Amino acid sequence: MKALTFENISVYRSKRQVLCVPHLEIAVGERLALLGPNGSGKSTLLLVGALLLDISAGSMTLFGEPIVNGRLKILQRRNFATVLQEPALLDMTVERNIDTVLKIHHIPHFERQSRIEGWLSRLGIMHLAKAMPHQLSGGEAQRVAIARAFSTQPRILFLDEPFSSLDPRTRAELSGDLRGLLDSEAVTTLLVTHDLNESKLFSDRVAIMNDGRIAAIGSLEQIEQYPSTPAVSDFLGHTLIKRNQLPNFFADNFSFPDACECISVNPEGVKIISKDYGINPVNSATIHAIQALNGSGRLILNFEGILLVSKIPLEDVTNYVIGSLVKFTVDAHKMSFFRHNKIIIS
Amino acid sequence: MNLLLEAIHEAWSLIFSGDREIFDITFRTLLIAGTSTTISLIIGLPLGIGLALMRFPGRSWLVSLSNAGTGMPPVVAGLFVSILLWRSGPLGSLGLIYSPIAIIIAQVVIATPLIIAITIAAVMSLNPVIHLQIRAMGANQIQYVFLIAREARIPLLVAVMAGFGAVVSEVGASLMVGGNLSGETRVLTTAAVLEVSKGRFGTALAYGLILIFFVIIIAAILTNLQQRSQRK
Repeated sequence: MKALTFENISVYRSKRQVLCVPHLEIAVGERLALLGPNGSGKSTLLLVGALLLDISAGSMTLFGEPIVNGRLKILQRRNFATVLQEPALLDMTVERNIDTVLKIHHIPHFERQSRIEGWLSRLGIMHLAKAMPHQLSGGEAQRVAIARAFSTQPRILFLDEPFSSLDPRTRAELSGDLRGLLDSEAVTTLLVTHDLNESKLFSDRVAIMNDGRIAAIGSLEQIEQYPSTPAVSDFLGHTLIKRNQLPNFFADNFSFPDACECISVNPEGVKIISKDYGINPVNSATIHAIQALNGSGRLILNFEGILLVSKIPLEDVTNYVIGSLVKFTVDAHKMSFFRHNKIIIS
Repeated sequence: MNLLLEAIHEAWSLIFSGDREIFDITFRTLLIAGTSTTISLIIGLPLGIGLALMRFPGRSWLVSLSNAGTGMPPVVAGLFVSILLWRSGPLGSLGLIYSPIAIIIAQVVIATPLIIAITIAAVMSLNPVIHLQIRAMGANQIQYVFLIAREARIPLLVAVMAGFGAVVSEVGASLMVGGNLSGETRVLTTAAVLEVSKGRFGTALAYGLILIFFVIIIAAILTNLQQRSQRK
């Protein structure tokens, strides 16, 4: 059973196509994460799915029923709950915020009270029931937004970067709690995020979007192994090198398909080594920058003018100094090859 | 200087002497201004909310029109209503010229654009995410409008106060369409103008002080509301 299907969906803004999805299905109980850079169309797709943005062309079904415009669309929207980047609480007490949405959903009074208390308790914010939104911290407000979303017992939950405005600690706490709720409620979920770790935590499947289109869809592991386009590869943080700019080290030590125009190197395939064991070809590069990203470290190596990225354990970042020389090797299995913006071999 | 001190003394005595005429004029002023503000709100609030929320051809033209209307001189509004209600005018048969209803009509013409413009600004100043969230909650059109109006309630109260402030203090239109008839259409502003023309500055100042009292009350309420919204 499909919870939501999209067929030939197009959205135009000022005569420019901002979304083009030929086909997408989300199964009942599935959790799909939409990843992609800013402006890639992931939030637009979420708004279309949540029936908050009209499509220019195409069709959609909700649990097998076609979605049509008009009054029925508002009723169909009541199958959903949406948590946005900002909590967007109404200017009323926390409990009235939840009560208001339950009234909209025509939940009887006696049940409203038990749902309010139940969800505030589950999110650990029962003590804030009488608080006004301006008295809440960012994390507390987002907890209220999540409680409000779950209180309606949605069949599909839309999460649009719900943790992006929170500090790392609050983000970690809240994402853990939300993961627990999603597991216990088994609600179909569509999540928009920039964060690869967040997508791993919340989704069964990810769709990487670029320029309004789904550039890759599947498990994150699959996509990391076979990035379908250079854009996907770039989003995943791989190094992209044009064939004609390849340093001799690569040309001399690795074989590439003849048709290959562009190579991507997964940061996991660029290993910093202390000794040359003679198994893989080794070369030296200067450390250009050191970064911490998504719970791991990154060394940006300047190798003959090409910036190669090497993934290292976060705790090792202090062992390196910018400007120093390191030896590295590249795993041939962590390279992908592209022609005409399509993967040809991996 | 002496003239001013004498006028203040006389005004003070008149206000606290319980003068029947002053009381009548004050009551009539509040009744007329209150009625015209209420009618302006009934017309202006839905129109303002509609113009803020709906998208249709000509919308920006209507918004510009309401913004321009905020600066309409009361005399022009009075002239327009006079022509409309004049015995030989289109609505002359109703016999409303020089009546309190004529003043109310003129004041509605003055206050409505002001209320529409402030309502549009109030609704449009709300965080766009709130609009999206209310729709995402599954609200129908009526629930949506109600919740948006509730969210904008403090700036909307400013619209109420501004509307009342504009009509209670205007003189040109009331004089033109009301005629300043004693016991019928005389309000605080027109009474003050009349008393000055007679050289009775004390009485004129008494009316002026009462008017200032209302203006201060309105300003105090507005300040309080603004501070409440800033605390959020």
